[in-house]
Amino acid sequence: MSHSIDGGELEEIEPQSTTEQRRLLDEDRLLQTRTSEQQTSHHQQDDDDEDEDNLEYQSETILTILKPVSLTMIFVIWAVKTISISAVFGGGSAIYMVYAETSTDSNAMKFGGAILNAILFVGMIVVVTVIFVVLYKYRCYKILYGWLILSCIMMFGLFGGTLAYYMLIAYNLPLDWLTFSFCLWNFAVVGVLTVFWHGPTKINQAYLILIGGLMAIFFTRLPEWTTFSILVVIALYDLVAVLCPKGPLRVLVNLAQERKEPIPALLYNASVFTMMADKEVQMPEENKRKGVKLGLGDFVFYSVLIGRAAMFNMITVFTCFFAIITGLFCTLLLLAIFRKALPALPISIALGILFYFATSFFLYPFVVQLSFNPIFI
Amino acid sequence: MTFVGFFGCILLAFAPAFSVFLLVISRNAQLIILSIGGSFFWLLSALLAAIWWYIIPPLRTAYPWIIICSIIFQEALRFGFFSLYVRAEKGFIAERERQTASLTSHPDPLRANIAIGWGAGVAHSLVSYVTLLWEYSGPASYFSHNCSVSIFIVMAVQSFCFIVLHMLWSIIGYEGFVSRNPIKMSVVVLTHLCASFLTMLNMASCGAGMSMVVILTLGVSAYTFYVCRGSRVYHVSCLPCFNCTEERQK
Repeated sequence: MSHSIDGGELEEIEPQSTTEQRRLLDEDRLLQTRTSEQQTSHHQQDDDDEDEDNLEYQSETILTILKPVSLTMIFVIWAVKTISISAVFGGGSAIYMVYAETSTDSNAMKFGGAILNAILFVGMIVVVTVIFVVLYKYRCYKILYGWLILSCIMMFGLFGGTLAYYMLIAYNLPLDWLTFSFCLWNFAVVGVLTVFWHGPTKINQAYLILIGGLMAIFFTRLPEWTTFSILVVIALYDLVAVLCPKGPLRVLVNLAQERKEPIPALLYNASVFTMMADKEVQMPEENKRKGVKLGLGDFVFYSVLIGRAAMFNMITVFTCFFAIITGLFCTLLLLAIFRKALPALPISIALGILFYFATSFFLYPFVVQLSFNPIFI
Repeated sequence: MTFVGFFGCILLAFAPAFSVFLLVISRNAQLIILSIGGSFFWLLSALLAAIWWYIIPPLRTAYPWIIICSIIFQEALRFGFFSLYVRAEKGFIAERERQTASLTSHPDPLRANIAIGWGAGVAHSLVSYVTLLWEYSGPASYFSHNCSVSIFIVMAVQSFCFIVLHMLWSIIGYEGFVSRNPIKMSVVVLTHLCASFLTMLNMASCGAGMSMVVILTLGVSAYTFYVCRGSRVYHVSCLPCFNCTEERQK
């Protein structure tokens, strides 16, 4: 297994894989939702009624999305509650942040700096997405795959490894270095293989959830104000990127359709920055039975909000969770009405942030006051 | 030691709710959506109550008024959700007649209301209890001087009772709402007030409120059986086993 990760060999693998193969893999890999067996057969009975979108089918697909989203959130909450992320990975001093928030700054300074950081962050996403589209347009597949595999293996190996290390410390579990590195190596290699090549659906989905969770944990180290401004700006960007006809995303989708190739969406799923590009809920017109796709970017940003909430108190975690899920349901309802690709972030993030602040300002002191003389309202 | 107590309290408070989830709600996707809707509306009411509590300073420690105000918000939003649900249901039935496809998995009103109440109850218990509960997982425990039982256990039992009560209130309230029966609707509001005021007994002696709430829960569940027996909204012959509803729908 260890040999298969050689750069040379991987580069050879990719060109060999035919379009057909890749299409199959693509279908396997994407975290697209599938209805259960009986649901599908039930639908085949009334094929002619397919256009009449029925509620039952919708709710099945909602459920299949709800599961991975909740799992990612639980993973992030567990990590945030167990170890102190900013202590492990160094506080807000990420390289790409122009403004480092300190608690002594005035609120106005924090606000301005946070907005600046957020705009820079989104600008970077746009730039990376454009580079990606250009690479795809001129068929530089080797560079593309090299880039994506490298970032994926870094993510699993370095970031996952560091996280696992501090988890072991937090739980006071002894483990020798040999076993640790052996497990980590296998974990990373299996991850890369299953994400980029082939693997059982369950394992693949588990790795995708892990990627989302790891990214979200990585982002929770950003300072508080920056986190919220990034979330807001990302939600707005999402709105533009998905709905705007000339955005890089649309160009990518059109290119892929022209070439009759699968959209290299799975690539996004693995990459650190370009993953935001895949961040739309879309229902393909030609085959609705595949259900709803939710980009990994959505997982990440929902979980970032939840992780930030977990740093305040458990009560904000639950209120944000319910708010985000309700926002997701509303988006899916709109999806059933409008039947076009819709951004999944704006409604959920808006509700989530609203509930976070309402909870931390009003509900939390209220509940604390009541729970000390155990009164249930 | 605290960790054991932490898990004990979690199981005491939420294990029954979890089993209801596994046995009834998780079987049907629409029930899950309804339960999320129920919890969202409950959270909305709690937030409104908290904002109300915050902007009126004399209310800060006036517990009877806190309870009354927050229950007004909760019940208003509960019946607001019912009216939304009834409207959606009408639309759905119309859709169904048009389609003539067999939609077997559409939940019957009883299970739907169990799900709505379950969502509201779980949200209620989580919001009220989880802050306190999380303290219990830490390195040490702390005790209230007028509490003969641990305050965590008292809250756990109360959480459990309120989850059950919310399911029962949802069942009674929906039946009252649909059949326009003011008595049943007022029973919901009054027993809710009663339950909340009973928990105020905890300020005098800790276990007292808890045990009274348990007794009230038993009373309300007896009343719920009585309501369901004569109900046209729910079909009672199906009450003991939740399996015969599919048959009936055919």
